[in-house]
Amino acid sequence: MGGGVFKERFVEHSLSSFLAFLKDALLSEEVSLRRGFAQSLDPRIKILSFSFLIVAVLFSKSIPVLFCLYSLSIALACVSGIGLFFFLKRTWVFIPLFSLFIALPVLSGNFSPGEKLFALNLGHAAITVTREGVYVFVLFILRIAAMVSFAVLLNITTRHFSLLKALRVFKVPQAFVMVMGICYRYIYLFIGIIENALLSVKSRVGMVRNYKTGQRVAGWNIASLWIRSCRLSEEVYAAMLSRGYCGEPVLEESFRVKLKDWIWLLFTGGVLACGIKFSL
Amino acid sequence: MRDKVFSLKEVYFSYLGRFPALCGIDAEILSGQKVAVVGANGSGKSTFLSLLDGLIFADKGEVRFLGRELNGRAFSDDNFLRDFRRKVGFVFQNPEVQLFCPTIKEDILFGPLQLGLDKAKTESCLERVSEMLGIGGLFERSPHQLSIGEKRKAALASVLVMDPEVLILDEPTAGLDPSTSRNIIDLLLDESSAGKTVVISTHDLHVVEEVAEEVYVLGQDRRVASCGKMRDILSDAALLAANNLTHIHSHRHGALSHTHSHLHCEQKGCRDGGLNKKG
Repeated sequence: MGGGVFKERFVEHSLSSFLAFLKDALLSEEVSLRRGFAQSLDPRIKILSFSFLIVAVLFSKSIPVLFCLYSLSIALACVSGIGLFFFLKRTWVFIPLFSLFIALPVLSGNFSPGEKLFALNLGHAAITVTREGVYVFVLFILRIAAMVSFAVLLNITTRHFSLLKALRVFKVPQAFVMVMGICYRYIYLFIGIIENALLSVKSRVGMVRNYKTGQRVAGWNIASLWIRSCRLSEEVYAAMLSRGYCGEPVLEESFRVKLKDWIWLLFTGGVLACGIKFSL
Repeated sequence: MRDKVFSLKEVYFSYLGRFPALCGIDAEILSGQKVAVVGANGSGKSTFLSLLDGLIFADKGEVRFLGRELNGRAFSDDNFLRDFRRKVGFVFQNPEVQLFCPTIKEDILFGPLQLGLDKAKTESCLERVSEMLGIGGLFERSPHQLSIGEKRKAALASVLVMDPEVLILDEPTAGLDPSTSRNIIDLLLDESSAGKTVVISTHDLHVVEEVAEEVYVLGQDRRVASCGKMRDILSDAALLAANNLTHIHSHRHGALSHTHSHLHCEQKGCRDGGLNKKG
């Protein structure tokens, strides 16, 4: 019975969860508005310095060094007012866990020949775990965890539009930055439209009864959203023209680099230099 | 003698060449005038305003701004385009359309940045506008975090910051609470007394009564059904009724109820709906 109800409400659940995830991942700026070390950095310096740290992780071939870099990411999270549990959940749930399963075979002697540590007896077959296998496995997981941690830190401690605007440091065209900004701004509006459309279906016919109806409702939603977005894009373009837009956007530059930013950039640059030097 | 800011002669416009929106419109808007374009839903008010703002061009007939015809050729002249956009500000009916940047401050500064307006002047305008509308605290917020009234104010600010000579507003008070409506009406009156030309579209006759001195009534046939002084138009009950613009109120007096139209000015031919026994 419970399973049946779940099946019947599968589409509704999936859509609601997806929308909630989108809102949480893209639109929650709660952490970026807190007072903390990472939040206080200039977004341009932050992108550069976190890129340095990610590249340093990429070059590092030593587990203790990677461990230090991963610890640095956790320390950064702590001084940026991010709860440890929240940060670990954000960084470990998807990519590192997924990578952990992918990397499991590397433990075995078939892929990493070397000194035998122990053997796992799986009934008809035995898997030998080697010291070299464990080393490669830990190195791989730590590297991914550290890189994901720095990327997540950069993402959650910076307002998304500041992040987009800061991309201009890397000579990303203004038009691209503006289009991305507009996309970001309207995602919320469209999420609201989808949620309201679902509610209106629910208010008239109750919950969606089966897969087929659910698929049909999702199809209507997609079609209606497409038409609305086309209309909205025309109107937004008219609103831009009305305020003097001529095809080449001019955007405001409001960033200011402080002494703290330069010191931080120097530090991360040093980490990168050491990472490269010791990897060669 | 006041300059002719806009003049429209026998203007026709249709969407996709098949759906007529305006069918032979004649109008004249003078400098410093307060004009209201009224009409029922679908009478072509928004299309009329889009033509004035040069966002669409007439299929037939001509629309002129300070004597120059508004068409594709005029807007391909960069100097004219910048001058026109500097002088004419358009507030859209739907603020979601007008607020397309991730933060309110970016939205407000979009126009001045595109037009290359003087930075110091823009800063002082920004300060004045934010104080006038009380939106200083919203600058770093995203449009989706605002209420409809705040969005409407922000949209208005994004136009006022350019200090245009002509303000065009499409249903500026639609869907707003009475207090926000009041703020916006007061602001329009202030702008008008500062010498700006104000053109609004609405079907709310309360707003017309307060804001307009000249009124154009668009009929269901998408032509100008009548135009004239605000008092003359609002006192013509037959004209308003014929164009779905009369407010009908229903009252209960114990077991009896009656309907009557709402009086804006001293209306001619205003008839009481009589008493009906209910229940």
